[in-house]
Amino acid sequence: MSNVVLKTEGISKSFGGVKAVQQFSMELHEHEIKGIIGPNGAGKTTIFNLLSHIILPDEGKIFLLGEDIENKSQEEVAQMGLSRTFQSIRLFAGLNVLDNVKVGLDNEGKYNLFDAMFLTPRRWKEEKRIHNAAMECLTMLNLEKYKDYRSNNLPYGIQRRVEIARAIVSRPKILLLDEPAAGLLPEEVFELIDFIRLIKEKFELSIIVIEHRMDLIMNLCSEILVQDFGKTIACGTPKELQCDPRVLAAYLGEEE
Amino acid sequence: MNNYQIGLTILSCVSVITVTGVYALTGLCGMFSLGQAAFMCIGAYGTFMLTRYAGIPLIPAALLGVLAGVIVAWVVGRLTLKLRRDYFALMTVALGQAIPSLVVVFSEYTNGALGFTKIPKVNGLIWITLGITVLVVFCIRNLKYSRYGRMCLALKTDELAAKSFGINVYKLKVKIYILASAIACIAGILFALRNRYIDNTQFNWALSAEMQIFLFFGGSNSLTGAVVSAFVLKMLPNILRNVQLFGVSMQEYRIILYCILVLIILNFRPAGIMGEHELNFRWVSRLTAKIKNASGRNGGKA
Ligand SMILES: Nc1ncnc2c1ncn2[C@@H]1O[C@H](COP(=O)(O)OP(=O)(O)OP(=O)(O)O)[C@@H](O)[C@H]1O
Ligand SMILES: [Mg+2]
Repeated sequence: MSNVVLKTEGISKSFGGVKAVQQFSMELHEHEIKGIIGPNGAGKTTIFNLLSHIILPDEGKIFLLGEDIENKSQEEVAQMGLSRTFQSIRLFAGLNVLDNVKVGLDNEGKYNLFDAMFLTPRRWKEEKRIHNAAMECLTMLNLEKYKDYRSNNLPYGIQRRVEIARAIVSRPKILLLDEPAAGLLPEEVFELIDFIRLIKEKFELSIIVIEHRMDLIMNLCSEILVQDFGKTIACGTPKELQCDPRVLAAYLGEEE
Repeated sequence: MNNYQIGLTILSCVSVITVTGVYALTGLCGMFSLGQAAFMCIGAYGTFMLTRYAGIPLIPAALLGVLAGVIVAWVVGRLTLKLRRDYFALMTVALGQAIPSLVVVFSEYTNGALGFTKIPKVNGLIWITLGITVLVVFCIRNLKYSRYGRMCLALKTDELAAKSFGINVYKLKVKIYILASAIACIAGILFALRNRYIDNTQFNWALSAEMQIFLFFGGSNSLTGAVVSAFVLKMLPNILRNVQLFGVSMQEYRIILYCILVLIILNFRPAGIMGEHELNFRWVSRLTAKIKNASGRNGGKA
């Protein structure tokens, strides 16, 4: 199969007595969409926090593009090409949609504080490049009509898509989506499925998605990991898992 | 303009300069500093001790004075900006108290509480001050509309999310803190040149608090709001100085006046007078168009 872009070897994390993640191992391949499902509190978000180094694992190793990230900060991991969204939408309320997307590029901007304050030619050139790249991304994702809106004035579904646009504008290699369909209407979920397929092709991404909505997971993912109480209790293609009794017991049963 | 008016204008410009620096810190990054007056103190004493004791000409001395402030801000920023925001605010209060009291500790050189007076006279100070004020506001305006401005506003709302876009929040905060402090140093030097006298009590916490009050009155998300309110509110008590209330000049009620204004603002317009709006040329032209329209209609009637 193709290259492995993200790999974990037995990572664990406990909070006090709660073993949120235990011995989690997986491999994410280039251009793959992997799903993680599991009941509330199963440790799914914690896995993302570990991968993006917002929290550090108690044990185990994470390899990003073949490199061990043990000594990297959250910022450095992001700069290496791992991008994510959050379970609760975390758009920057003080900025409009376009500026939110620009923030995704700003850290890489090639002009300094002096250029910024004295409006040097370098500043104009870079700002133009950032503007064009952000607009291109918004246009590609059909969001350009919202560019001047404040994020908190937009419907939930649009906010989710803006958050994804902001995460991918810097062309990361890997995208982590934490419950992107939460709070969406059923028809919006189908739009989102197409949207995720579209960005995967256009931006050549490898994606891991956490989701409760089985329609989304079953439609998108080539492989699914089922988490429960911090452990991976099953792993396989959507077809294989659909009738797995362990999954039904741990997850589908509880949902209904 | 007479001397009094010139002096008052310079004072108001100094207020605008400091509040512009505080805007970068509080308005853009959401960091509260209640010790920016300490940097005015460092700038002023640093510069004029050098002109007095080392015989350095004013301009290089002023640059060194600002440098001293930059170094202090760098050290303090590196030590405190990794802490939570509220701890940072507390540390700046301590700094704001510590620096003026150092002036007393080194009374031998600074003349302590009696005040330091050997400050050279500069001709045309008003023009220099106006020029610097315009330059500082121009620079911070540009900062707001740059990648730095966006990153600051991002980290102000959500540090964790900002970090997930590769932004080194800590480094950026240190940079902005140094910038705001350098601006405060410049303001301190101008302040000293205007008064030709400085002492430790002029740079106490009340001055730092005043800057925050001016910022919030104008709107902490609006640079132009902050600039206008810093200028007007500084001027107001001085204009009212001849107005007497219970036999006391209104100027003495300054702090009470500010408190009342803040209470009113917080209750009725929590985002400040200007909210997030900026005054710009589009706004001005709309206003003049309105006035023209109105006068045109009047003309028709007549
Ligand atoms: N920062 C933290 N400090 C303490 N406990 C935490 C922390 N983060 C997560 N936990 C605990 O770890 C466990 C797993 O939480 P996590 O958020 O990863 O679950 P989840 O699978 O994402 O659930 P959900 O479907 O509700 O989003 C929970 O018991 C939670 O209380
Ligand atoms: Mg979660």
